[in-house]
Amino acid sequence: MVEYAQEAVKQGSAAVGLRSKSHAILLTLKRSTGELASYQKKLIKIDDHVGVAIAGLTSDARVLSNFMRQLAMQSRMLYARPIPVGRIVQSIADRAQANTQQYGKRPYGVGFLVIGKDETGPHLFEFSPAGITYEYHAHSIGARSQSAKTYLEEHHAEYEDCSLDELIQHGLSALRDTLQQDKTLTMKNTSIGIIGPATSTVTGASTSKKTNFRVLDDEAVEPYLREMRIRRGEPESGEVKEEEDTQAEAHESEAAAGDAAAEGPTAAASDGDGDVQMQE
Amino acid sequence: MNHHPGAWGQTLTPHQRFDAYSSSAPSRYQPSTSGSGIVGNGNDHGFYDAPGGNEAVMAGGVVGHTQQPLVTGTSVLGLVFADGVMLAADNLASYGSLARFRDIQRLIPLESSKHSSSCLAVGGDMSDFQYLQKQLETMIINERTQALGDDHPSLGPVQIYEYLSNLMYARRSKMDPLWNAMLLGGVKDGESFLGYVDLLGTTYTSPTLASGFGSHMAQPLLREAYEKRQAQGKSGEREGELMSRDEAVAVLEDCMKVLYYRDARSMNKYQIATITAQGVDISASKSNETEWKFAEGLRGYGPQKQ
Repeated sequence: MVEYAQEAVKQGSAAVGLRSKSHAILLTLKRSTGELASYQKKLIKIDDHVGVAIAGLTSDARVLSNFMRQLAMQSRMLYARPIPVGRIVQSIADRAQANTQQYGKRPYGVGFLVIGKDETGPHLFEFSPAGITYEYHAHSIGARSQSAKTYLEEHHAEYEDCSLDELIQHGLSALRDTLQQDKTLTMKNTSIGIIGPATSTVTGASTSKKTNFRVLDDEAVEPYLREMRIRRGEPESGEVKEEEDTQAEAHESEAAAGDAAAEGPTAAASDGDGDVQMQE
Repeated sequence: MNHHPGAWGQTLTPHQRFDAYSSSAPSRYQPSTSGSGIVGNGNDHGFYDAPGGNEAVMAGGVVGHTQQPLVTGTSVLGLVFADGVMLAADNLASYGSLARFRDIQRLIPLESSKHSSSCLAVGGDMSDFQYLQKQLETMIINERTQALGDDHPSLGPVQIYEYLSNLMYARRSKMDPLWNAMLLGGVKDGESFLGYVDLLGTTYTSPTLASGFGSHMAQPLLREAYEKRQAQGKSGEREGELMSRDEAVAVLEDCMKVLYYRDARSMNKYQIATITAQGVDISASKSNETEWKFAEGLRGYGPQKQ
């Protein structure tokens, strides 16, 4: 029953994708099972020019993304050509569709948002367990993704001409709408996947010259989150403060290193202080 | 097989002639060892040289691989010019030294769309050439079918060349090569491409190329003309560094003439393919004016005086 598989996708945490003339991006909300656990990775690189965001059963996503990697490599080896994005998506869709009508098989319990860039420009596709693919300007899947869709639909006319920064801000706003009342986007639970030239003007954002698929995690997403808070006129929350602390700490340990040259024992003591501060 | 030099030229006993691991079908022209020579009368199960009959049975059930070409085409030439690439090949398919088939087109247009055009010129075994042609056409039709769905640009010359060289190398690695040497020429997004692939999967690219006998006879002539034109462009004597269409045709015609004089497997009837952004144009067959008066004085040619 495909409907149950599609239900599994809805249970997965949300993923948002947007596309402009020059870029395609994915934003995902990562979950962790508890304080001591790490956050579950949601973005998978398939090839230099293709990446996916998953919602649903991670193990099924691994099977399908492995298959996509194989196809991508095959295309590069046999034809010296990066595989056209639409074709790689269609290939997994065909595979998923076969599972819905073959005796003894079950559908995949995972949905993908696929971004990629080929000779025809950047693309955003959705893949669902039913074996259907659609191309979108902007889309979202996973838990409470309807709220993100509502936001995306409100601003649908803007994406085409957006810069990378604006596109990310739209994405963050949409992703934020999928959160429960008491939750916020943090650098721990937010991941951003980008395809297209790095043209960011946000302070602190990384500026690599690559146009390949890349994932921003942890510290790398913080500049964008801060930008989002500034734009919304929100107070700069604990996240930002924490980073300021880290910076202060970094200065301190630099100073400590200077001390170390002069007198060893004192330096060791101030290092210890630094550690304690970090844990606060 | 007895490889000892003492055994060379000696007639083998049936026992010695039995080679279960032979990959070749034994010659059907060797005298039969089974006496009457009627297939199936003996108790040799076709392992020996039974005249006639199934090839695989004669080879002892072992699959035979191509070990020599049979019907062959000779050299092909390629040249990059201002608007794209030109390829040339004559119309002959020889059976050994016999000029057996005199109207064979060895230039095949592969793909021409608004994005790219490609063409292949093939020398070597003609049956392998036909197999190759079928493979490439299948691949291109498949590609076109997929392009119906997403409108993605078709495979350009570089991609087809990669596929072709992979195919050739895969076959040589199976010890069953496609016995050909070929040139692929094409244009994509204003960019010209000319590459060589052969039965070993060897690949190289250059603005002038020739296969087989042509690599000895014609390649120096092509290079000379190409570099001369390049120098003219560099010194500012003329605009651009590449030959015009007419110049390129003239150089190729000259090369085909030299090859016709010197290459005993060539014929004075050939075609030229012109690959540009507009598509692939394959000329009608043409010939060069030749002069054979000088041959009268050659020893070994014509009736001998002394």
